[in-house]
This record gives sequence, structure tokens and C-alpha cells, in this order.
Amino acid sequence: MMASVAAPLLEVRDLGVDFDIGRGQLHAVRGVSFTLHARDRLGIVGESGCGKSTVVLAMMGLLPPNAEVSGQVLLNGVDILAGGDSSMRPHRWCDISMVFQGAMNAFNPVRTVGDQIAEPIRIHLKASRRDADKRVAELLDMVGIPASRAARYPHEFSGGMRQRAALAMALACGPKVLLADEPTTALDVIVQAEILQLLRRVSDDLGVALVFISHDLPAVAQVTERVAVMYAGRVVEEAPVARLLTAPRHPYTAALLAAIPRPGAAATVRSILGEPPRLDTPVVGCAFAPRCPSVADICRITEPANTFDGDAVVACHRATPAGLPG
Amino acid sequence: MVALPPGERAAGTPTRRGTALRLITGNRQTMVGLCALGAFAVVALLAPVIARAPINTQFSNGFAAPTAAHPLGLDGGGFDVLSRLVHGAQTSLLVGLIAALVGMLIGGTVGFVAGYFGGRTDGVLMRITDYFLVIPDIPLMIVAAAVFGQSLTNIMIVIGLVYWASTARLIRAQVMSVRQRTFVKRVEAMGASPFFVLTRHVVPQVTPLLVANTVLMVANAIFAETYISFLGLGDPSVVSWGRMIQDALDQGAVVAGAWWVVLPPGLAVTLVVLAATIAGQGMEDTLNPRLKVGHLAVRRFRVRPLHGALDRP
Amino acid sequence: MSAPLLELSDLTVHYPLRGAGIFSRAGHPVVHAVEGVSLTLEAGQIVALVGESGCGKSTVARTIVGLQHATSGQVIFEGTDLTRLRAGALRPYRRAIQLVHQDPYDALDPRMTVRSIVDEGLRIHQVPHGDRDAIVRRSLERVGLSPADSVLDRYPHQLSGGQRQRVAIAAAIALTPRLLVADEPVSMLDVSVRASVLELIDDLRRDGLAVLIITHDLAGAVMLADRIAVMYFGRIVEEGPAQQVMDSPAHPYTRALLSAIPSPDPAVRTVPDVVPGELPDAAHPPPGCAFASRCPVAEARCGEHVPPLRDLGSGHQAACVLPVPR
Repeated sequence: MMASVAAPLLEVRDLGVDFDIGRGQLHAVRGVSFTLHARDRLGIVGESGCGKSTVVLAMMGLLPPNAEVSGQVLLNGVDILAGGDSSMRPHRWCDISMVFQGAMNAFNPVRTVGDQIAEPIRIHLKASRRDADKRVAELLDMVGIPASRAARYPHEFSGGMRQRAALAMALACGPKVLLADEPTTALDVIVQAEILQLLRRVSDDLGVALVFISHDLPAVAQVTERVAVMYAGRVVEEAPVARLLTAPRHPYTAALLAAIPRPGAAATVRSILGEPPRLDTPVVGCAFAPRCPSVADICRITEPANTFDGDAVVACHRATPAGLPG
Repeated sequence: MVALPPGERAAGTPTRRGTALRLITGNRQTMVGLCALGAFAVVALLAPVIARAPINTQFSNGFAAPTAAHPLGLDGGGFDVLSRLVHGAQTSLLVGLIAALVGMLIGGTVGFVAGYFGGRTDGVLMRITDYFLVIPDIPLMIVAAAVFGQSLTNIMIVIGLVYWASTARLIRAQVMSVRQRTFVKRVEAMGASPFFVLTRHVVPQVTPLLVANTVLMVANAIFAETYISFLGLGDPSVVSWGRMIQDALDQGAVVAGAWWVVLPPGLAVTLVVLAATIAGQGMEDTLNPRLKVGHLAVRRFRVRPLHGALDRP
Repeated sequence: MSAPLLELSDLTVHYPLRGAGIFSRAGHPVVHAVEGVSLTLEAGQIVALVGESGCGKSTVARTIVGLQHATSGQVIFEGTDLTRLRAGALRPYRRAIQLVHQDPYDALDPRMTVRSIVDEGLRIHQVPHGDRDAIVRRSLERVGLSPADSVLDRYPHQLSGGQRQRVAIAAAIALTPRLLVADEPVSMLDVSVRASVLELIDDLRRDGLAVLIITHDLAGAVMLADRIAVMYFGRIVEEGPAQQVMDSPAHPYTRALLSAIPSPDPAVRTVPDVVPGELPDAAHPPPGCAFASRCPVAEARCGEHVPPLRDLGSGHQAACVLPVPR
């Protein structure tokens, strides 16, 4: 448990997102809650379609118009979602900022990288050109890009360097919370390791609270202290990372761990049979029940509530304090 | 394995028939445009029935305001305006359709060949296309009329020749993009001949766009026919809307205040071109949501404020 | 020892940087995508070609299946050099060698049913009509899509990523190929599904199929492959029995790759054993070892000549002039 000296920096309470898709609703996120203090590092892990990207986009107020968001996102006690875009905008980038999925491919090809990193500084901080350029140089230094590259164009950067530049852009206005959505996916393993190192360093040096979204559990484990596992729009387990990896309590977490190939380990790697449920029909019982090796009758009828156990949460009928169900 | 219930088909299944249906019905814009065009087509087809008055009979010496017998009055030459309008619809729509088809055939073929084979073939074909893109259309039509004579057939061909180039570019781009798709490469790697790939994979992907583009070309063609006739280069033996507008000005209808001679053909052209444009753009929207013309498309989503309806403790 | 099924002999692929128009000039820069690659593959064997993006492994795959022309060198399949054959003579080999693509979401024509997709290859190679239905069903069942009736009339968008990849594999094996080239077959699938698709590929060996699997995932490769070849900057830098390459990597690059794989143990901080740096420019390859700029143990002599593959015994080779540590 973190030594909470002060009130939490960021508190997400019962966040829910529904998309109106014309022929019904898509329940993408249901009842997601978590808390971050300064310098905390939280990982959100799940597979495609589980809703993890939707959570952070909702936190930034960047969902498309057909999304209905419920719940609260409290930044220093203030609900930044209550009041639509106008209440969100002053906080965006200056207090809470984001590295988007595929950010390395989202650069404007006809403007220099330095210009693009300077843009939020000039807009949000109303800085002059000179001051902005100075700040850009600082940021580039922080993320490990030689300052001379600021005048270059995105296509002259490698994938890893563009990802660093995207990180610099996200940190441009000195946010207290950084959301990183799949920052290392599509990067080679060596570059990925370097970026993970960088994220750790940035969080330590700047005191930024980090939320790290990924499908890659080992990568998340390298950076974060706590991990929340999402499935079908819900957090099914959240725990300190060491405990989650060695003694998972939710069968999905365990199955996810069993599916990771480890170099040198002779153990067989297992897939999870079946697929995640469609999110356009309301879930009856536990969403993981059709694929769960420990399923019981109650799992198909009632959706499990969150069980709190010290500093961990798990949503499973069959979880016991000692670990996985027998 | 989680299986869909047998026989269940998710919405928007891309069968061959399905896409055609979706193209037509998927967008309110398209439906409106096509219905309007259809109405005009019906009127044109029923011309002999609707317009009782023969078009070449002089009923008077000059302008005559609308009456019960002649609902749109008589023009400067004494001819029944309504009759001429309705018969003119036949000309304009026919020319529009055939010219667009000519353009589509030439442009589509050039686009497919250039896009699929690439390399030097593409280079040569695209240079030719560029020349046609650059040629100013009106002078070309004037020259063509002067050299080949003023017949309806010539007009159709000339219009098609002027407008095929932009279709060629569009189709070429789409073909090139489809060719890069993984499923095309997969089939090529299996040993499929270029013809096989073209007909079974590329054409089905590109055809809907070609159809949408052709509808837009109909709009252009009708408008082109109108001003060719307006310039006096049209076929003198048939009635067309452009010709009616030209006649109106020649006969001094504006000065004489004979609005029933000027307005009907002008409105007719405007409405038909508008209908075709709306339909064509609606089809393009259906095919490529990113091209959506926001102010014309009907929004399906409601915009809600971000704050949720309930405040939970 | 019988002749190998596939032998790549000094395969080199260069391609011009800018596409040639009608008026192309000589002297355009050329990308050295693949440089002098030699590799053998026996029937019933699985060889993994491992490397990061841009190393040339996908180019090798495309050259083997005939989607790319070789600049020099040989691709010898069952004794015949495929690079010498004209398009018409190549046809039977387009059946014997099949490619499975990386992207299952784009590998299937969205307008065709599963039945048509799997049948298509049979149609191209003029398999008698009467036999086709049975072959299609058998192939689908072989890849685990059983009963075949449940998917025959489905469209790709109704299938999950894992199912689509299985359909692609079914379409490939319907032609009873002798060599399967799998280009990153699971990298776009969820982690929980990867193992089962890799198991399937492993299982296809029983039918006498040889598999060349291209991947950037070293850990996954080891589980599946008999032999591993590591590529860097267009060349093979290490090759040998899979477990041996994993346990005693001889080339600094292989060691770097292994060190960069994020350890699921959060107590162990993954630090890649590599000097921060960039890949050399593919249009202007350096005179010496291409990895020297990032190699933690590089010496001056590494920049002089491209190191040849040195035999280390028991089928293990590495292209490094330095002695193997330990």
C-alpha cells in the first residue's frame, strides 16, 4: 500500500462508457475505479477489446460524440468530466496528458518535430518562441534525443525515436499525470526495453504519476507497481505487481500469465480457448464464465462483485484469499 | 469455440447483392437524389403522354402567359413551353447518361489497366490522362462541333472524352490501393494470373466507387450538354433544356418579362444536376465514411455532454 | 544425408530507393535489404528466422515465395533453383510453397465466404471440381475449425483474429504444400490466442510439412523451432539449434535481444545489453560489422570487414570476430 501522505492526485470512480452504435449500445467500460497518488505507477492490462484504451480516452475527454460517459474522474478532488469539454480543456495536457496508441505514426509529416513538440507549449503555456524552443531542448534531452534533431522531420526519425518525441510532447506542459496507451507495441524488443527504462526514469525524476496501458504483461511489470487486469470492460483484478504475477487470484489473470512464452522455461504455454464476449448485449453473470476453467453455476447467473483484500481487488466468485480456486 | 448461432449473419454483411443494396439505401442523401432522378426519368419517359401539345406547332406569334391549355405558356416562337420542357428532359437525361457511360468505360478501363499493371504502362497511360485533364472542355467541344458536326451522338462522345480523365485517376488510385491489400498478395503468391486477380478481387472492390463516380459524372454531363446547347453548338433538330435557355435569351424573354420561358428549363437543369450530385456524393459517403460531407449527411449520433446522468456517491 | 528441401545460397536482394518511372537514371541509391543469406531447411523441420523490423527477414520470405526478385544468389527448392525459372515454370512451386501472412485482418477478401477463400487456391491450380469440397472441409477441420459447417458460410468479419488466421492457414494447406513460410503469423493476435496458433503450426509438421517461421519474438521462436537463424541488417549473424542459441548465444546481437526481453519478474529490471544507437543507413551499408555501432564489446577491427560466419561446432555458427564469452 502506498504511504498516502496526501489526498490522492487522481481518482477514477465507477467510470463507465457506452457507445451508441445505431442498432443498440456497446457497453465498452463498466464500473472502473482506481486511485493514483503522485509518483504512483499503475498498469492496465488486457487484450484487444477489453476497454483499456477507452478508459484513458474517457479520462482525457477524447471519446467520439456517440459515447456516453458516466462516473467521475477527480483530479485533485475536482471532477474534470462534470461539465463537458469546457471543464476538461484547462486540465488537458497541463495536468493530465497522454501518449496515444500509435503516436509514433501520428506526427504531421510536413512540420519539424521540434515545432510539433513546441506547439502545446505555445498554446497552453502561452510561451514565446524563444522560451518554447528552450523548453523543447530540455524535453528532448530528458527523453534522450539529441537536440540537433529538433529541426528534422518525422520521417527522418526511427520508430523508437518518434516514440520518445511523442513522450516529450506529452510532457511538454509539465503534467502531473501521464497516460501511456501501448507505448511500446510495434517497437522492436531492444527499443522497447529502452523506452520502458525511459518511462521509469521520467516518472522518478519528474514525479509524474503514470498509467501504463498494454497487452504485454511483462512489459507492464517492468514499469509499474500495481496492475489492473481488464476483461470485457471491467477490472477483474488489481494488485501490487509482484503479487499479481506470482499469486494471481482471478482465473483470467492466471490464464494470461500462462500464455506468455518465457525464454528458457520448459513449461508449456497455454492459450485461452474461446473469445471475449460481444459487448453489445448486456452481460449475464461473469463475462469470463464461458472460458473459465474454474467456473461454477453461480458464475453464470450473478456478476461477481469486487472483493477487497488489503490493497488488492478481485472480481470473482471463486477466488479465495489464498489464491486461485482449487 | 464460441460459434455464432447457425445462419446468423452480422449486420452489413458484404455479399455482392448486399453492397449494391447498401450503396443505394445506406444513405438518406442517396435515396433522395435517386428518387428525384427517378422522377425526372419517369417524366421524360412519359413525355408523349404528359405533354399533349406537339412541340413544333406554333400556337401564337409570340410570348403568351400560362393558361389552362398551356400550363407553362408559349415562348417567343409560339411553341408550348411545357411540351418542350418535357421532351427536353428526354434529351438531357439521355445525353447525360450515355456520356457518363462513355466516360466511365474509357476512364474505368484506363484506370484499371494503369493501376494494376503499373510500371511503364501506368506511366504512359497517365501522361495521356494528364493531357485530357488539362484540355479546356469548352474549346474542345466547340472545335469538335465545328469539325464533326452538331449531332447528339457527337455531343455524347465529346462529353465523355472530356470527363473520362478524372475517373481514370480515381480508379487507378483505388486499384493500386487494393492491389497492396494482403488478400490480393496472398492470392498472387498462390499463382493466380493477373486476369484472375483483377476480375475476382480488384473489380469487386473498385466497382462501387466507379458507380458512385459515374452518377456524379451524369451530373457533369447534363450540365455540359446544357451549356453546349446554350452556346448554339447542340443538335438543332432536337429540343433540349440548354437550347430552350438559348432560345429564351435570343427571343428577348427576359426583356419581355416572360419568366415562364426562362425559369422552367433553368430550374429543371438545376434540380437534375443537384439530384445527381447528391446521389453520387451520398454513395461516396457510404463507401468511404472519411469523405463525409458533414453538412449534407444526416447525423445518426446524438451529441451528449460528457457528464453522466447520475452522480454516484 | 538427403538433400535439403530448401536451400538459400548467398541470397542477395537489393532494390532501388525511388521507384523507377519512365525516365529513371542510373546511380539511384539502392537499399541492401538482404545480403548473402544462406540457410537450409529439411523436410519436417521448423526453422525460425528471427530479427527486428527492417532486418530483411520479410524480404527473404517474399523472395522464397516469388513475390520479390532476387538480385543474386539462389533459392533451391527440391533441387531446382527457383530464381532461374520463368513465370510459367514457377507455377507448380507456387503450390508447393505457401505463405501465411502477418495480418489476419487483411489476409482474407472481405467479400468472400470462408468456403470460397479456402477453395480459391484449388481453383487456381485446377483441382478437379468434385474433389474440392472434401478438401476444403478437411483443411478447415485440420486447422481446428471444426465442425467445418460452422464456418464455411461465414464472412471474415464474423470471425475473430485467431479464426481468420486459421482460415488463412487452411487455405494454404489445402494445396498440400511441402513448405510453409509463415511471416509473423501471430504478432497481430492477442497473447492468449498465440500459443494455440503456434501449436497448430507445430502440429502441421506431422503431415511432413517444413516450416520457415519469420518472427521478432525470440521467446516464441524457441518454443516452436528446431533451429534459429538470427538476422541483423540483411545478414544472418547467428544460426544454430534453437535451444543452444538461446542458452549460449554467441553473437552480441543475440545476447542483446535476449537481454531485452522483459522479464515477468518485477524484481529483475530488464536492461538491454546494447549501446544506444541507430541502425546504419540501409542505402549506405558500413564496411565492417553492421552491429558495431550498438555493440557493447565492439573493437576497432570490427569496423574493417564484414565478419564471416564462424563455425562453433554442433551446427552453431556466429558472425563475430570476437571470442564467445564464457
